[in-house]
Amino acid sequence: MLPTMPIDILRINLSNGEIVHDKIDDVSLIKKFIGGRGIATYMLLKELDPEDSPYDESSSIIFAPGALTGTAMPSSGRTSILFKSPATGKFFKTNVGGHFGAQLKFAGYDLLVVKGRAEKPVYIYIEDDRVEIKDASFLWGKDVRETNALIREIHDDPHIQTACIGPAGENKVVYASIQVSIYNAAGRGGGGAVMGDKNLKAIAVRGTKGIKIAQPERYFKALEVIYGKMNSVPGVKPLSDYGTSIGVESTNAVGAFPVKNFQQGSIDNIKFLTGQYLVEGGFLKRKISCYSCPVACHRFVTVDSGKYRGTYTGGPEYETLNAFGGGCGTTDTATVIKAGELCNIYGLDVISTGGCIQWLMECWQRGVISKEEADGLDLSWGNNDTIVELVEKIAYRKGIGDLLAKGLKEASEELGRESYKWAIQARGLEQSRVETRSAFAYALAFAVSSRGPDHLNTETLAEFGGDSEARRVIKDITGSEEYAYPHTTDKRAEIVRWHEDIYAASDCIGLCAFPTTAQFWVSEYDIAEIFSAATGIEMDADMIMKAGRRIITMERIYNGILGHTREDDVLPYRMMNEYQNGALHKNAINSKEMLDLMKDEYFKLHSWDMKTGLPTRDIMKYLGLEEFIEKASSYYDLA
Amino acid sequence: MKVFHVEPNKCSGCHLCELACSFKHFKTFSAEISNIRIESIEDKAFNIPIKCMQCEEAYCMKACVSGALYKDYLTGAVKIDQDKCIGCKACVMACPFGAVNIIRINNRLQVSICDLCSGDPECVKVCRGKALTYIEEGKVNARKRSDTLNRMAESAEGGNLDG
Repeated sequence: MLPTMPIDILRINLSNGEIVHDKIDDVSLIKKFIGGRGIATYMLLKELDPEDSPYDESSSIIFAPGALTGTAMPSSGRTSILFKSPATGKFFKTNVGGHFGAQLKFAGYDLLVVKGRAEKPVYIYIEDDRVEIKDASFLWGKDVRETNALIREIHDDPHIQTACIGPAGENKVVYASIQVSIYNAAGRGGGGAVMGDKNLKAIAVRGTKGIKIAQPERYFKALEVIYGKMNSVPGVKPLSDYGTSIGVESTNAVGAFPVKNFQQGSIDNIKFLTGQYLVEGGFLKRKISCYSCPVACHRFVTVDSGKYRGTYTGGPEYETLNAFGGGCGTTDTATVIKAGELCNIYGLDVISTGGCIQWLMECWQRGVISKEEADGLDLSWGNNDTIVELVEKIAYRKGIGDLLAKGLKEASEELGRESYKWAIQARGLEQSRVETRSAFAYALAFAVSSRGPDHLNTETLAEFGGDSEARRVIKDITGSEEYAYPHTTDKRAEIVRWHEDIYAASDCIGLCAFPTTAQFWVSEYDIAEIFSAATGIEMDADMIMKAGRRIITMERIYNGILGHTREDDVLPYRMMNEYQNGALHKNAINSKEMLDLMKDEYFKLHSWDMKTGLPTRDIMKYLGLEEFIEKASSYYDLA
Repeated sequence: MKVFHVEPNKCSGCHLCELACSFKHFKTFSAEISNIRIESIEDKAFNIPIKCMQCEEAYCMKACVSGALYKDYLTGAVKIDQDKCIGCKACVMACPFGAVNIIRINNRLQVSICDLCSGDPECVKVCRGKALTYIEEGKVNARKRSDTLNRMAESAEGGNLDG
């Protein structure tokens, strides 16, 4: 079979047990939406019923590996998972690495759509054409590690890959993750809670079919170009050597490493949170790759002494090192690794879990919560035992963990006491560990993202101009390298929009965002060439980027139908109302005025309505999305 | 002569070697028809690429009843004469590493063994972590020896090597 042509869809309804194999062989649809995330977004918008909650039986969750997943395109093994989020109530796309997507492709499926709710816990077993909904009562309550091991054991096949939930998903923690092994998480937005609500413990896949290439000679020529760049850009080696933790020390040095719930921008003794220390301290044992990724930025670490002896897990990534380290006021390496391990086996999003714990710690700092209310815990900054204990309480909704399991938006509303002021969330999503007050493209990107304030729709790292490639990209977008400067509002809209487009296109082919938005060794031209060669469907770079824009626009229409307007494009209260201390950049803040200025430019660039910030009739026509005009106009004020 | 050398601890489990192998031989991306296969203990993130070790005294050849297996004396690879092979799979049974594969090509089963791509293995080319190398026999373990050298040199500085 060729990649993505036709698009093979497996539809499963857990309410009535229906299993349907579907095919789309409409080339024009592929040219519009590329594959994976693009097609899935189109399907979700088409079936959107604004009355449905994320927990309705009719709500879908879609698993969408990329168009090129399962081929030798480097770093193309990723899978998007899309659903209506229980955290934000809006559109949500998560994306996960690992090996699940490749197995799904080898089994012959480009998309897996799951609807309905099973009466009892089930898991879906897929072995090529054989698809079964199986009893999962023996798996319910098991953690991610145990679940994987049991499924492989019962089917006697170590090559099975799963996407599963842990106890947190079963307990519908609103930021429960979907785990692809203990190393890879579709962490954000509460996909795990959606699976838990459907009584779906796991999807286990084994594929044995082969993937062919339409134009092999051209494909390998394109690969050669991509490999050449991978080996010559400056960013790949450091990422490969130290993983995402490579950024910890430099971010701390410029005062942009969020400490104590974003109250400070740096912490003493940072060395214990660095990738270098993971090596020197003997924690790092091996590197781990996602499918077809030669960079291998993941790590496998163990703790071999002390209280947490016997701990082993993936990471810790930059986000983990901040969420459970600096953010909670500690630099204790073993504590961070332990908290990360618990998230990976209970199935919790690291960013939100850490964000909720920090909020509670700040409640303590401010004296608005008593020891009694906090189950007798000492919530002082840097209390390592408390950090680890709270992770478990959240997963099992024990004691104060039940409040935190609701996410910061609801938890701070419920607690009151002005705690919304230090609840680092917007629209129900806890902000990822990026100091947006020191990086204005990030600020804009976070404010307008369909997900809420995080970096996984639009990673605008280039604005820092960290290396020659980053500065080249900024020059290509804006016309000048001088805009590789994060403390200006100038050209941020252009930078954000370009990144949105290429990020969406990357997801569509299953490509990691690092090659396109962090180390810059795959361009839109490379994507176009390799996609055309692999599928035989001719696309140029403009078409690729336009498909990206189409996807962003569809997400915006989706959220618009659900009542989102430009007023909702905000950042957490602290970012918009408090100056950040300790940053290189003085009086660092993301004021409403500043955001409005950037949003105006951004909406203008998208040709969206300036008043509502929503896509207009004209832009929908221009992008070939006419079919959604009627739907949009019946729910929002369509200009 | 060059030998194929595997260092499992350097394997990050990207599976590109499998894809490179299957595409080179069958113009298809599929681990199922690859002559190199990654096996993993997921909990320990430990991976090992398993392929023919080019044994000097090859058990598979000894087990072959039809004379289908022979050595390519230029590379040391064990090769299969598919015309002579009767498909008894005795070689599969005999190989202690599980490196002789049964694969399905055009709906017909056949035995398959790494042929070292006639001295230019595709899998090695895509292994960025250098878990797979194809190097002169004298170079094998050169890195381990140089690590030993450095360790000893460090130790000598601290006076630890003095009698």
